[in-house]
Amino acid sequence: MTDGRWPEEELEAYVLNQLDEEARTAFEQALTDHPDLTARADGFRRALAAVGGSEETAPPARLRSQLIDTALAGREPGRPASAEGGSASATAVYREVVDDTLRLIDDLEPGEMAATTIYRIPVVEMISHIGGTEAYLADRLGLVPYPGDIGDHVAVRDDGADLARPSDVVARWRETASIVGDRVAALGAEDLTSPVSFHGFPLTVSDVLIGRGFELWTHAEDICRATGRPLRPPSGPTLRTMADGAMTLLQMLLSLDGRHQGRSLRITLTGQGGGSWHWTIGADPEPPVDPAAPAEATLVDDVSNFCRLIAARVEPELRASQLMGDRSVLQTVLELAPSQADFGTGPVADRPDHPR
Amino acid sequence: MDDQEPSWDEMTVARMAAGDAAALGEAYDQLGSLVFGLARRVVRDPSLAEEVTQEVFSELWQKPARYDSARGPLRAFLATVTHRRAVDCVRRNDAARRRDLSWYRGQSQSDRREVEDTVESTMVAADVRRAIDDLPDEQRQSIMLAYFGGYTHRELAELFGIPEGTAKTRIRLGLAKLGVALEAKGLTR
Repeated sequence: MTDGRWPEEELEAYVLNQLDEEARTAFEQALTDHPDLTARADGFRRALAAVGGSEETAPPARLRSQLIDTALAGREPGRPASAEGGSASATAVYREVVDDTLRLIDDLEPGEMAATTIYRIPVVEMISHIGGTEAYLADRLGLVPYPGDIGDHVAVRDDGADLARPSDVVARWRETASIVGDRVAALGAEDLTSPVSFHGFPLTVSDVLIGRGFELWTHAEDICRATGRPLRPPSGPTLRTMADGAMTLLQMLLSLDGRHQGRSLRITLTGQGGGSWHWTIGADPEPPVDPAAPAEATLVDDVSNFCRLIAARVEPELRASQLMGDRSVLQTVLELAPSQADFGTGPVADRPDHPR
Repeated sequence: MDDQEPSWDEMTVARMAAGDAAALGEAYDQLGSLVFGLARRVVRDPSLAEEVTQEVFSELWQKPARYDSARGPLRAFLATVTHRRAVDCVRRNDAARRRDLSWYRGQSQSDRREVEDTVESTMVAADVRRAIDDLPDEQRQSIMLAYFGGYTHRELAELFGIPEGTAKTRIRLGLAKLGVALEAKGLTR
């Protein structure tokens, strides 16, 4: 909480809507660090909804059309809802995810370092991989030369650090993240658009930071899964920026794939950080698309889920009711989306034990 | 990936996000009575309750991403939004609230009980009513006045002549008991 009080003290005032706007916003921010408290708040809200629900009263019949007309005047039918809260800058994405991941790692018990993550990789090795990639990022940003062959960065075990001492692995990553973080904090707008070669791809610094944030969040969730912690998506603005980046890559992949040139596709992602993307596949330059125009294929999914699909952490099988229109286009989207997880991992991507 | 079929809540909100106006009508048909009834109970004025109802559904249409199915059913989400809007509406009418408070202080104990009964009088769901009735008096009174009357902890403390911390504790304990009782009856889904 902004006033330093343990948020639990405000829980009842929050669920009873006694807090003013500022205090409510601060409380909701604090809730993101307290999943148990969030669960309690949700439980109280459900109980109060049951109490409130016992007051059900049919509204006047005229209210229905009046209400719908008013709502539709604010957003026309067919027009997707715009994203709320906007998007985060590349530097904000990077810093938020690094900070969250450091908090997660600080919270790990020594015994949890041996828990196995994706592809049976122990948590400590996953942290080592995170540190190795951070060191490569530091190299690419011109901060600290990378201490070895980047092709081995996945297997870099913290440059010889003894894996029996997880604290060393964590400390090494923390140190590199701090160096990169300081540099990132000082980046200006011009710096963010500077070209940088990352795993052989010609990108901008901004692209790299967003991609790094995405990767780091994915690995943080790998650790959460391995240690039985609840999955926590980043903030809405950060998710929105990640989703925007993923859509840009998806547009490129669909265009290169070539099977559905000229077909119109809409992807609507719901939840905090969601939004709607509507484009014509393969069109170059991209013609303006009326957001309210119907698309030949539409996919609707939760934004966190879709980002996990992009990261190849969920099966590419969406529920039938979330896919509308041309199934062949949508099937290709589901095939290609997870292949984005290979971007940025270069020559090690085909390793069977590679943590993408 | 979760292979369960999406709930009606998820699909309706996803359709609204994609711009399907029919989904708004369906949401209103399903949950309009909840929103209007709760708003009317809190603001005690049908025309203000209509305004609140309109605001709640307009907000749902404009900002469907605010609903997160992982945190509970759409019903609970809309009840929360409705309650917040209604309480804001009541607090804007501060003079009326001050009159209420002043009147309440001047009444005898039996009269006070009458006010609380009035607050609870329209409880129609028997199971919910029973869960509320099972709460100790001071917890029930505090929750009903806070929820339907929009009273803050401080105002409740003044009203009952108790420390603010005691008012908080009564609500905390009462909400916890109420949650357990309603959960056991399957009334919080």
